[in-house]
Amino acid sequence: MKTLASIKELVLFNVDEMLCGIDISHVQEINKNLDFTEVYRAPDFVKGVLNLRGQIVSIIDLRVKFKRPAVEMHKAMRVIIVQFNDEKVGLLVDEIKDVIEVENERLEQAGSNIHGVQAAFFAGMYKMNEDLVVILDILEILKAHE
Amino acid sequence: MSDKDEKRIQLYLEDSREQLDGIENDILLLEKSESEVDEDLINRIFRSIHSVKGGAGFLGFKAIGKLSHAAEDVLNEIRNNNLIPNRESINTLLTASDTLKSMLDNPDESEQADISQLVTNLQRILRGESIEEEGSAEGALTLGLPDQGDLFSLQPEDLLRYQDDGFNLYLLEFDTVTDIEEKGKSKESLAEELESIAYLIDQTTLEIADRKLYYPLIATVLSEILTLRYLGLGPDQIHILAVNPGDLSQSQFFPYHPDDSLEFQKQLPDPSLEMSAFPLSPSPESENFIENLAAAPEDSAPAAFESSLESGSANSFLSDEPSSQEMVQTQFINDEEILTLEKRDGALTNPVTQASNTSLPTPSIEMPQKSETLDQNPAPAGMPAESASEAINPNPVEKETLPVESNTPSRPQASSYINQRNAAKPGKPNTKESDSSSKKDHVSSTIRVNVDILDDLMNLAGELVLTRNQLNQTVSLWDKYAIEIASQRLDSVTSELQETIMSTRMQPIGTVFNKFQRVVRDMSKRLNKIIDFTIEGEEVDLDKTIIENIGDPLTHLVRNAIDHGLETPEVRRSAGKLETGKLYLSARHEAGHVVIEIMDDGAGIDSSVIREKALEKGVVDKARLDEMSEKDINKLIFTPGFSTAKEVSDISGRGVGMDVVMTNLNQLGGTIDIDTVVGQGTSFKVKLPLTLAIIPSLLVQVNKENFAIPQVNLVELVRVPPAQVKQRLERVGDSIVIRLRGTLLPLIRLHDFLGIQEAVVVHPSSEEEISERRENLLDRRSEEDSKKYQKLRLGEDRRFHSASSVNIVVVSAGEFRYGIIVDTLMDSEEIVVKPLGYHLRECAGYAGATILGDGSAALILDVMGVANFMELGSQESHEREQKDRLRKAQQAVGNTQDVLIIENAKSEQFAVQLAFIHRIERIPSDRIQQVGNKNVAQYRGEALRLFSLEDALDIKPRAEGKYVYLIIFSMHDKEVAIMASGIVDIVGVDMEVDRVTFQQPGVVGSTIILDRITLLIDVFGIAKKLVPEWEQTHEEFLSTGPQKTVLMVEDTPFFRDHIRDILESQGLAVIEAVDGMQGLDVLYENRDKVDLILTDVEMPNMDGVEMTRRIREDPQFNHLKIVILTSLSAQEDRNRAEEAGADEYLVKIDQELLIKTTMNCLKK
Repeated sequence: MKTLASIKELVLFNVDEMLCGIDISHVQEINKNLDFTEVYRAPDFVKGVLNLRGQIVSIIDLRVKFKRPAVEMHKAMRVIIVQFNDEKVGLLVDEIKDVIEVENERLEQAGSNIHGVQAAFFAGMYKMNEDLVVILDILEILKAHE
Repeated sequence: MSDKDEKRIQLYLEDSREQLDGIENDILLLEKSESEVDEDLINRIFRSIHSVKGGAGFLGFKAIGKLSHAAEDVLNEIRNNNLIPNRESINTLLTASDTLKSMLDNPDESEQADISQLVTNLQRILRGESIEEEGSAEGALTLGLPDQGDLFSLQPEDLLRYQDDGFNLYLLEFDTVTDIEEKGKSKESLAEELESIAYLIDQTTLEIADRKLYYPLIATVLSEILTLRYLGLGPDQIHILAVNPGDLSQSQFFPYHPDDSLEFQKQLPDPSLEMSAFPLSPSPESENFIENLAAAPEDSAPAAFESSLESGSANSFLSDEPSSQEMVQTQFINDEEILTLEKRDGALTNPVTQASNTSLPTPSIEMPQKSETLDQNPAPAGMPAESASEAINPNPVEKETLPVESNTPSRPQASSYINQRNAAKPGKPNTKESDSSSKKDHVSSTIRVNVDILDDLMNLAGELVLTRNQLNQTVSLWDKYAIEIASQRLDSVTSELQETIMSTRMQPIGTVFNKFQRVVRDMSKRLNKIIDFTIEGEEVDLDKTIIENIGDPLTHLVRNAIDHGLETPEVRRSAGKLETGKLYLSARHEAGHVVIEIMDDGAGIDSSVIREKALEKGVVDKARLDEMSEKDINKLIFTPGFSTAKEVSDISGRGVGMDVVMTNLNQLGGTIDIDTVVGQGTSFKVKLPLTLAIIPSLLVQVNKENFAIPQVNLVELVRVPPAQVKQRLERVGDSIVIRLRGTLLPLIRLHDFLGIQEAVVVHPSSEEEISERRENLLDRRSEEDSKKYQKLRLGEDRRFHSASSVNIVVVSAGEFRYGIIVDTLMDSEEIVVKPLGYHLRECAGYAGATILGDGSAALILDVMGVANFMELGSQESHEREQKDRLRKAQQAVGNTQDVLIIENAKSEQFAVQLAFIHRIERIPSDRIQQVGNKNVAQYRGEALRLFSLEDALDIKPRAEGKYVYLIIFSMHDKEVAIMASGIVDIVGVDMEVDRVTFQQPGVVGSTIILDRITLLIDVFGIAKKLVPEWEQTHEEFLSTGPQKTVLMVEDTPFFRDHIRDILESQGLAVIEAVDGMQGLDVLYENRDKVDLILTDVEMPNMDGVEMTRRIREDPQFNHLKIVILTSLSAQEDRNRAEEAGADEYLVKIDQELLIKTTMNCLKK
C-alpha cells in the first residue's frame, strides 16, 4: 500500500552528464531568466545575482560545485530557486529533465565509492530504468563554503 | 493549547509589554512629583499595572498576577494619598516593572520566577515599613576578606544598585612595594589609574599591615579583564564579591581567576572556538543569545566562553570531576546580567547567583534539589535569561544530565548557525549585519501604524489597481497618448505609495530617548551627581532601522556625558557653577537630516589632555599635532586606539571607546561632531539620514556593467581629458595618484578591484565616442595629434596615456579620500538597498545590491571595503605627507590662491583667481555676435559683453574652436565675460608672482603653474582697459575732497602690492606696514593722516585682530574705521574680528567689494 508519506517527488535535472534529483519540496520555482549580474571577486561557484521579483538571489553554479568543466550559457539552462535559511538561492543547472514520483524505500544510500567533499553533497541514489539519479543534499551543497 | 488560546496569549503579552513600556517614565515622573502626585499620572500607571494583572489572572499567569497585584496595591495607596512615593518605593516599583517585563518576555518561565522578595518588599512599603532592614541592622554593610576581617562598608542599597546595572564589586590587593613602588607608581597615581577604568567606592584606600593596600571598586566583568592586564595583578590579588541576595551580609569575596579570561584572549581569534560545546537551551532566544555572542565575541563572549575553554567542552564542563581543585567561574554577561557559578573542591560551598537587574533574592541555594527553580532568574527585557541560567546548575550531581540532554534538540541547529556566522565573517565578527540582527532581538518585530496611514495606503492601493486597469486597456488599444497618461499616473501613484509606506517605517525617536530618563537617574544617583535632564524633539521621526541601532551609541554618549562631562556638586560649586548639572538631549530636522545633540554644561574636554594622551598613545605624531586645530584635536577621541577602554566593548556602551561610537554611527550613514569649551561643557552632534532603505547613489559603469556608489560617500567627480592624463596621473610605486588641487589623491581602478583582466578604458572604437572626445578637446586636435595619441595608446604604458578621458569618482571613506577610476559616469538615482545573500557575504567591497530601472541587478560599492581591499589605507600616510607639505608650503608663503587655468591660444596659459569668477559657461562659437566692434552673446535673455584676452593684452589670438568658454564675472553689478578656448584646471598656487617680466595693464604678474609660464590675469584690469568709461564712478567722488590716506597692514608682498594698486587707482594715498606691530608704530607716527586701516589677520609678530584690539583701546582712534581683510572666511574669525572692534570683515580677493567697502568707510 503506498501511503502519501512514503512517496517523494523529485525534480530531475542534468549537471554536465550527471542526472541529479532534488526533493520537490525544496523547490520554490524554476526560472529561465539567465540574465545574471556578475559579482566580481565572489567565490567561483557564485555565478552572479538575479533580480527575482525584487529580491536579490545568488546563483550557485552546480557545475563548479561538482567540479565539472564549465560551459557557455545556453538556452536550456534553468535556475532552480530553493529556500535556504532565510533567503532564496538559485541553482544553475544544465537542463530540467522531469518531475517523478518515487517511493521512499527505493531510494538507496550513495555508493561507498563516492569520496571526498562531494560525498557530503549526495543524499542518496535512485535507479530509474537505465539511468541512475543522484539525489542531492541541497543544504549541504549550499552550506559548503570552499 | 489551541490556536485561539495562543493568539489570545500573544495578544495579552504584546499589549502588556506596551503598557509597561510607558510605565517606566511615568514612575520616574512620579518620583519627581513627590507629595504633589499628579492624578492623571498615577491613574495611568495604575491602569497599566491593573490591565497586566487582569489579563494575567484570566490567562493563568499566576506569578505575573501576584506581582502586579502587589504593585497595584502600592500604587493604589499612592493614588489615595496614603503613601508618598519616595526613592525606596520608586525603586521597588521600577524593579517590579522590570521584572514584569522580563516575565512577559518569557511567559513560559514566568511561573518559576522568584518574586517573593519583591512581593514582600511591596507589601512592606504598603505597610509603611522600610525594606532596607534586610541587609544589616545598622543599614551599612561591612565587607572584608576571610583572613583580613572587615575592610570597608557600604550601603546594601548601593550594592544592589551596582548589581542592577551589571557591575561587580571587586577588592584589589596591592603590595605597596612590588605593585606600587617598584612600578614607579604612587598611591595617588594608582587611584587615578583605577578611576579611569572603574568606580572606586571610596577614595580612601584601605591600608593595613604587611605592606598591603586594598582598593574596593565597582566594575563590569569586562573592564575587569582589562584591569588584570593593565595592572598586572596576580590571581590572589583580586577578589570578587559573590552577592548573596537573600542575605547581603552573607556576601563573600572570592579570589577571581584571571587565567580564564587571559586564556580566552589568546584563543579568541579561532572562530570555531568550541562554540557548539556551549550548552544551549531549547528556547528560541538561545539562538539570539548565541548570535549575540557570535556577533560580538569581544564583549559578552569572553566571559561566557571562559567556561567552555576551561573544560574543553560543555559535557566535560558539566561533568567536570569534582576532584578538580580549580575553581571554575562562569560568568554570563549579557548587557546587564551576571550570573556566577562557583565550584570548589567538587562540593559546592557557596554557589551564588547574582540576580540580574531585579535584585531578587534567589531561593536559598544551599539546597541542591531546588536547583531547577533557582535557575529561573527573571531577566531584563529581551535578555535570554534561560539560556544563561540553564547553564548554571549548582547541583554537581545533576550536572551530567540536566542541561545537556534537555538541550540536545536545539543544539545542532544553533551551533551550525554559529558556524555559519563565523564562517561568513572570519576575524571580523562585529559587522553591520550581525550587529543589526542581534539588535533586532531587543526590538519588537511588530509595528504600530496610524490608521490614517493605513487608510492612505488602502486608497493608494485602490488607485494603483485602477491605474493598472487603465494601463492594460490602453496597451491593448495601443493608444500611445493614453499610455503616456497612464504611465504618468502610475508614476505619481507609486511615488506616493513609496512615501506612505516609508512613513510607516518611521518611528519617533522618543522611544529611544525616553529610556535615558532611567539611565540618567540611576547613574546620577550612583555617581552622586545632580542632573537636570531635558529631552527635546521626541516626536522627530527616523527610520526603524536607525531607531533600532542608534540606542547604543547614544547611550554611550549620554553615559559619557554624565560620567566624564558633568562634575559632582562640590566641584561645580567650587567652579562657581550651579550644583545641578544640565544634560540636554535633543533631536531636530536639519536639511534632510536628523541632528541629535547631547549637550552638557560640565567640565568640557581639555584639548591639552587629549593632545598629551594622543602623543602618549602614538595616535598622531607631534609635528602633525602641532598643526591641528583644537577642534581637530578633540576629534581625536574618535580615533581607534585612543580610548583607554578600547579592548572592552560592551553592548550597553560601558567601556566602549568613542571609536566604536563613531563606527556605529558611520554604519548608519551618520556623522558626529564635537564642540567643547573647557569648564563650560561639551556638545556632541550626531547627524543621521532619515532613512537607510532608499539612498541616493551615483551609477557608474565599468566593462558595461553598472555599479552604484552611495551619494554620502561622493566628494566630487573629476574628468581628466586625454591631453592631461599623462600630466596629471602619476605612478607612485605600484599605485596611481592624481594631482588634484595641490594634493595627491590615491586612485584605484575599479577594474583592478573587480579583477577584470582585459580592461578597456573607454576604447574609442565607435564613432560616437570619438566625437564626444573631440568635444572635450574642443576640436583643437589636428589629424597629426590624433596619430600621436594613437601611437601612445599602443605604447606600453597606455593606461596613463589614455586616448580618452579618465573619469574619476572621488569618494571619502571615513577620514580618508581616494578616487575610483571608472569607464563611464551614469546618472544619479535613488536606489533601494537589498542585502546580498549568504554566499556573497564574504565578498568585501559590496554594500549590497539594487535593482535598476531595467530590472537588472546592480551591485552597490562599499567604498570603505574597496579601500581596505586595495590596501589603500597605507597610502593615507602618503596623503597626509602631501597635505603636510602643502600646509607647510602655505605657511611659508603665507597665502595660496585657487586659480582657474585657462588657455587662449594653444599652449598659452593664463590664470584667473577663482574668487572673482561667478560661473563658467560653454557656448558654441557661432553664438558669439558682433555688435559694432564689441563681442556679445545672448545669455539668459540678456546681452553678455564678452572680452577677448588678445584685445587687452599683447598675446596670440584665441584658438578657433567649435566652442568657447566664458569666464563670467561681475563688474559694477553687471555680468561680463572673458573668452577662453579651453579650461585646464583649478589649482592652488602660492602667490609668488613675478610682477615685472610681463608687466602690462590687465596682468597681475606671471608665475609657473603646471610647469608652464602662466600669466595671472586681472579681470578688472582687462575690463577697465577695454572699457575705460566704466571706471568713472569712484574717481569722481574722490576728486571732490582732499586725498584720503589708508594704512594697509599686510605681510604678503603680493597682496600688499595688489591692494595698493587697487587703492591707488581709486586715488587714495597708501601707507604700508608688514605686521601688526609695525602697523601700530606707523599709525602712531601718522595719527593725523590715517583715515582708514585695512589689515590682514594672519601676520607674524602681531596679528590683525590683536592690533585692532589695541587700537580700539586707545580712545583717540575712536573715529578710525578698521577693515579686516583676509583669505579666511570662517565664521569664527569673523566673530573674533568683530569682538576686537573691527568695522568690516572682507575676504580679500573680492576686488569690487573691497573698493566699495573702502569708499563707504571713507565717506562716513
